[in-house]
Amino acid sequence: MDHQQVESSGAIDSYILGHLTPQEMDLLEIHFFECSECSKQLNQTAMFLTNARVVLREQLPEAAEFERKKIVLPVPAGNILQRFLQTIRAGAPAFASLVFLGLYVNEALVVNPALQRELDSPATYQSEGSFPLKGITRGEEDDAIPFSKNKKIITVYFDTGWSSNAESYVCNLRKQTGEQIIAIPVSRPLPGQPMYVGVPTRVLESGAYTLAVMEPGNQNGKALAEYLFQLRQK
Amino acid sequence: MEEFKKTVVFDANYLARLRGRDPDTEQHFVAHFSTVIWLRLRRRLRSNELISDIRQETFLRVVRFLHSGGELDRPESLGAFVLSVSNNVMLEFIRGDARHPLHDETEPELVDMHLDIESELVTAERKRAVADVLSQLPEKDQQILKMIFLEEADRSDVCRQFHVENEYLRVLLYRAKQKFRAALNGASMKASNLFMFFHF
Repeated sequence: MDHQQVESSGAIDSYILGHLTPQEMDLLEIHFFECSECSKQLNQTAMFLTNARVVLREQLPEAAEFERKKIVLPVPAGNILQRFLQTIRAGAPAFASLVFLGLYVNEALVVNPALQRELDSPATYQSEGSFPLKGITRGEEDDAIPFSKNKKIITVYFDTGWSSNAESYVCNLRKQTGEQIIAIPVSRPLPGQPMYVGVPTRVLESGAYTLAVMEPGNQNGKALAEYLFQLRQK
Repeated sequence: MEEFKKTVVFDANYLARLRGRDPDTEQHFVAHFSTVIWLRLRRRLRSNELISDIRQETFLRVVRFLHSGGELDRPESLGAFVLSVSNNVMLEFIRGDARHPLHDETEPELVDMHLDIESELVTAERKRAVADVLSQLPEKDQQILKMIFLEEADRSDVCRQFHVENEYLRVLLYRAKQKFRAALNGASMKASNLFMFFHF
């Protein structure tokens, strides 16, 4: 069997969709390594199916809306009790489906703000590690700090050399271009202890950043301290 | 399933170009093996990061072998060579992990494999192309593809439900893929990342 036979038998589609036995998949994989044409077909199929999955998944809320409209049934003739029971009998399966669909869509797509806040909290996630920052000295940045999106938080820390006695501070993280990324509220550290700031990795990418420590009521004023550092995504 | 015959494209010239660091050949090399290594490893390993590392290490070792003057008895067996290197690297990495079995309790959850392959293959342009292709299909065909792609329903079940033959599904998939390829080719053949998928 050559690559045309593989293609005409739909083996590549079946492989991507996981419809083959492990032995068949092993054989096909060996063939893919050796056959340029089938490898190309595999790439195209994987690309099409993967993008199609994403597109169809994104259309799910519309499907839910369609299902919701579909179950509005006409009320049959008869006495009120009979009509009521008939409506329940006819609509129960559809209603149950809708409930399950709604739960599924809710689980898959709806972000619970409170939960998101909790998830974003440095206390919730384990950190990539702690990395010290030094006062800003342009042109003399330390080596880039490595981070991975697999860890939800990267923690940086620095000594507090300023004279403010505020109970809390706001750390503004900006790109080197000045674009504000996130503002992180931080409590005053214990005397003699450095200030630790947990930054969610979801807002980060490789590049240069400035962390400016501000007093809460003075967020547009002069920063108490600024730290320039580089990040490198692993 | 019977043994597949090969369509040989690897020859002495190909290896010579790879040794000479010819960019087009290197790009073809990576494109040819990238997805298949990924898919093969995905069946065996759960860690996304590990799969990436193994794939990268495989490419590195093969290229290093060739650059250092290594020869293959049969140039057309390059695919088999890459496969064996990939297997070896995978076993080494797995053994390496096994030597350090103590897992930090703070380790994060395993990454969703679907998402990662998506991050490699999904782009806004390709999504637009797919959406265009899907929207041009009759409602019934859209439903069929939805069941196959999204719900991963068994083909025979889909055939029964929609009263179609298996051949119908094959042709439907084939045509959808052709339209997708045509749409992408028409949209931007200049994009460098498409080169690796469509040039050869």
